[in-house]
Amino acid sequence: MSAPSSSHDSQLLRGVLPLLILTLLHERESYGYELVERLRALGLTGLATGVVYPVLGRFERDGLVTSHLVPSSSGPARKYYAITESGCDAQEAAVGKWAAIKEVAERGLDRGRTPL
Amino acid sequence: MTIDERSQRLSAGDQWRRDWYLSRVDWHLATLVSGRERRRIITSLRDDITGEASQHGLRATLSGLGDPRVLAQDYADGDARRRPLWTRGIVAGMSALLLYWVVFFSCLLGMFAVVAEASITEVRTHFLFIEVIAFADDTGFGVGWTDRAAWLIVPLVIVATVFLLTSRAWRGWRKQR
Repeated sequence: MSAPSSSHDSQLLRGVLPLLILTLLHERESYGYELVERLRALGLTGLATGVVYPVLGRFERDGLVTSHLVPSSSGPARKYYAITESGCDAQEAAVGKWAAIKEVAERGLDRGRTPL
Repeated sequence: MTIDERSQRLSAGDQWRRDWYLSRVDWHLATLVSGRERRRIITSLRDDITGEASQHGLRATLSGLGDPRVLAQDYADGDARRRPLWTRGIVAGMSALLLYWVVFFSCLLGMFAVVAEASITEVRTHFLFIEVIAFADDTGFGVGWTDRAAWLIVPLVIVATVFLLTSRAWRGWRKQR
């Protein structure tokens, strides 16, 4: 998979980032920066931390994730985020919506590729 | 675990830089979200910054978060409403009052200079509707002003006007309707 450039479209990123964050937290809980690194490992190489924390903040406010501080022997406590049951439901719903949009987009792109 | 306990491994300088950054985010959030939401965001962000700074250093952490104004807008995304800016109103109002008194006392000093150099006993002038008197004689010197109500009303009107304009107070009134 080719990595999107660091100048990837911010609107596209805004659309897909919440889904990716919920999906990664569904796999396992993470602290903020670890989550950023996991997203970068997916291919969002130029992703800024400042884009991720606001999404986590909204999720926490809306009850889709919870957070707890885990003391660290090497430094200050880290704030871990974990997905809630509502978050799992929201993630499933978002995956369904994403699949529907992807299907529409692919249909449109296939028409563009078909020779007239 | 308290915030102080969490922060104890950040140096005093880093804590100051973190809090300065947070205060700038807070300043911009004030225009976008409610006070309760603002406090929630700042508390959460403080924890995130403190945790991340232990791994990557505070400079890299704050650099990754970017411009406080943009970050505040991202936090308020979808919730932003036009709100009164009470804090800005108070700061601007107090600054206007301070400026008023600085100009007023500069005016008084100028009057004293005239009294001293011209060898006259009394100088009268008007400063924003207030009649001000500076006097000097063999027994001493002093200042006074007439229009008892005006010396109080004029600065109050200035402060209130600046406060209302800079705080966009009418936004709160619209919200209540």
